[in-house]
Amino acid sequence: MILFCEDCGQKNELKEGYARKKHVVFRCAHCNYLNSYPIPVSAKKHTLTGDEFLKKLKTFPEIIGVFLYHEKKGVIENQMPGILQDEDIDILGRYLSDSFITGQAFDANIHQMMAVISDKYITIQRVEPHVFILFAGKTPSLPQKIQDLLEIRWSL
Amino acid sequence: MVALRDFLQIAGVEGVDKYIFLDSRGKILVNTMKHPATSSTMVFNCGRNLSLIGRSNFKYVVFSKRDGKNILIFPVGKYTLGVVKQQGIKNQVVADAVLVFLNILRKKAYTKGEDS
Repeated sequence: MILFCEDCGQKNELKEGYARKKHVVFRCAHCNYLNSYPIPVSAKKHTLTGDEFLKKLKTFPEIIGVFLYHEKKGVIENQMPGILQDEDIDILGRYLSDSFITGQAFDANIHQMMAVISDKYITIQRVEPHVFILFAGKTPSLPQKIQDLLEIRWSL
Repeated sequence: MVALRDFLQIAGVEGVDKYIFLDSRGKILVNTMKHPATSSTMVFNCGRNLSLIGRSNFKYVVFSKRDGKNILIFPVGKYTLGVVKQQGIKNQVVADAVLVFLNILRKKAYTKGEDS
């Protein structure tokens, strides 16, 4: 399980056992800071299929649409508005994931990207090594409830 | 085109910690970044990518970092502006302040164009 130091922001890889605890305490391997913070329980992990999970996310009033994009396979799950063609969604996924990867190559501390296009807010986050989740929303930041759901599902 | 000395006033815009301003080919015009060479590559490539999909509707992009020193990129006509925000200030506050600043510069450039 990867956790980030609250002080220096560096990644710390912890043993799996930590994931079952509601609260983690660990010393940062980089700056020696003693971290102590709550983490979500991952017991509910993967109880929904990818499609069901995206449908659930789309029920939030702030969310217009959501899809999963794989670096090599392209769009793998899609709950974007029907008005958008598959090709458009694929282009959106490709360019946004490219930009996100470029950003992370520059600074590994980058964990989320949000682009404002017209009056829409498009947020992208990496959920697996080659998979990204993209939200089209009406507000600049994702609701905390959505962040919690992402953390539960992917232990982000 | 606005004079670079006008542009340097971005340092005083609310929430701006560091900045980099690039021309249409990614050449650095002004900057206060720690690593200007790598910053310019990142800002230029991301700015170009997003301008390709958003075209004139692309307003800005925010890269969120765990240390709070988020990076914001704005298209400025053919140019690109990258900003590192100060810790503890909301993205929206910095983005709005920078957009207001850029609008003032645009109006100034437009007025100069009319005068000449």
